[in-house]
Amino acid sequence: MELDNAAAKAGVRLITLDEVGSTNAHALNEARQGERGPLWVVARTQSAGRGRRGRAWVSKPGNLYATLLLTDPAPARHLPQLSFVTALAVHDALCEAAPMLGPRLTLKWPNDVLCGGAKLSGILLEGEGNTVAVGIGVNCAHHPGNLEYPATDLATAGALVSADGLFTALSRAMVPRIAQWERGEGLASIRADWLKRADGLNRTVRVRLHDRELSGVFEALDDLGRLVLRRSDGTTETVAAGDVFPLHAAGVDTA
Amino acid sequence: MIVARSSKKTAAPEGKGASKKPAPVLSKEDTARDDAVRALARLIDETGVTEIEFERGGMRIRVAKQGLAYAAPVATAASAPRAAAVPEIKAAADPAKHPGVVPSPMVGTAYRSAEPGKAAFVEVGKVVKAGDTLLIIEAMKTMNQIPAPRSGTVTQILFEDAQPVEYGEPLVIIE
Repeated sequence: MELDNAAAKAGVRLITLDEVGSTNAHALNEARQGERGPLWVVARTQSAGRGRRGRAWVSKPGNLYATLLLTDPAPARHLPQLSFVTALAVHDALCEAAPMLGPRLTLKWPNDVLCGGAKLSGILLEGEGNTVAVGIGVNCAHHPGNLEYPATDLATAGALVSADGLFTALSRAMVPRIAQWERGEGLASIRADWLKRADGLNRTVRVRLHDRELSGVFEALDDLGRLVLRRSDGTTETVAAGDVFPLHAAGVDTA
Repeated sequence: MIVARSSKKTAAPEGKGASKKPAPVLSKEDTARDDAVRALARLIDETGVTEIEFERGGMRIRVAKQGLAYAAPVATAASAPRAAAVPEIKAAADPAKHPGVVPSPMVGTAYRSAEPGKAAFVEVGKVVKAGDTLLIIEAMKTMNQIPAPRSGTVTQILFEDAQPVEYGEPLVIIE
C-alpha cells in the first residue's frame, strides 16, 4: 500500500497491516494512546470487520479495508456530514481507478457506493470524543452473496483494480474533498455534488428504521444531510438513521 | 412516567415548588383540570405519543411522557420523603435546566447499547467516570459515542433506545 504523494505532503500518514480485527477499532485504539492523525490504517484482511449496528463486514484478502483517523475534523454537530464527504471521495477514487465504471456508479444514502445498483463499497464512521474513524470497505476482487442488499465487486463489474491501486487513489481523493467540506461550512457544495450522484432521488424508496418501515419519494437531503421522504399523504419525514432500499428490490443490475 | 403541567392564563404566578398544600375542597375548575389530565394521560398511553398540549376555556394543560428511567414514580417521592428521594423530586423539574444534564451534541438516533441485544452502556444508578460511554448517537451512518462529561451517578435517562433526538435535547442526568 502506498499513500498518494499529495496526501503525504499534506501530512497524512499510513500504517499497513496484514491482518487486524477491524481497521476502525485499531485506529480508535491508536487514538486512545495519543494518536491524532490524519492517519490511514489499511489491512489486507480483517477478522472482525464491522458494519452498522453490529453487522459483520466480510473481509477476505483482495478487497480494500481502510480507516482514516481524524482528530477534530469539525464541530460535533457537523461530524455526520463526513459520511457524504467520504462517499464522494470513494466515488472519485473509483472513477479514477476504473473510469469505465463511472457512469454506473451511484451513491445510496447516506454513503454506500453502488455499481449498477449493487453495493460496491460500504462506509462506517465511528466517533469517540473529538476523534473519528472513517472506515471504508471496497469490494475489489470479491463480494459476499446472500445479502439483503445485492453486492458486487470491481472484478465482477469488469474492472481489474487492486486494493493497493485503489487505496492510493482514495488517499489522494480524500484530501480535496475534506478541504471542500471546510469543517462543515462547505456542506452545501458537498451536498450538491452528492445529489448529482444520488441513487433513487425522486423515486419511491423504502427505509427500514429500528422498529418500522417507511416508504416515500426520496425528495431531498435536508440541511443536516437527513433523508427527506415525501409520504403518499403529502407529509414529509426526515430520517437520520436507517437502511434504504429501492421500492422493488428485483431488477437490480449486478452485471 | 407522566408529567403534567397546567397553567391558568389568568392565575397569579405560582411560587417554585408551591402547590402540594393540602387542598381544601376541590373547586369545579380543579376537578375539570384533573379529569382533563387523566384523559390526556390515558390518551398518551393509548397512542404512544410523548406529549399532548390542550387548551380550553382559558386553561392550558400539557401532559408529557418522559424517559423510562426515573428511579421511582413521583407519587412515591411525594408520599414518602426519604434519603433516596432526590432524583424523584428533580424528575418533575425541566431536565434541560438540570445542572447535571448531558445534552445531545447532534441530531440523530440515540442508542442505549453498542448493538441490538447487547447490554446498555448505563442504567439509572450506575456510577460513571468522566469519559465513560453513555450512549451512541447515529446520524448518516456515523456512530458517535457520547462520553460522560463528568464523574457521578446516572440519575435519569431521558430517551428510549433508538429514539430520534434533537441537538441540545437532554439525554442523561449525572449527579
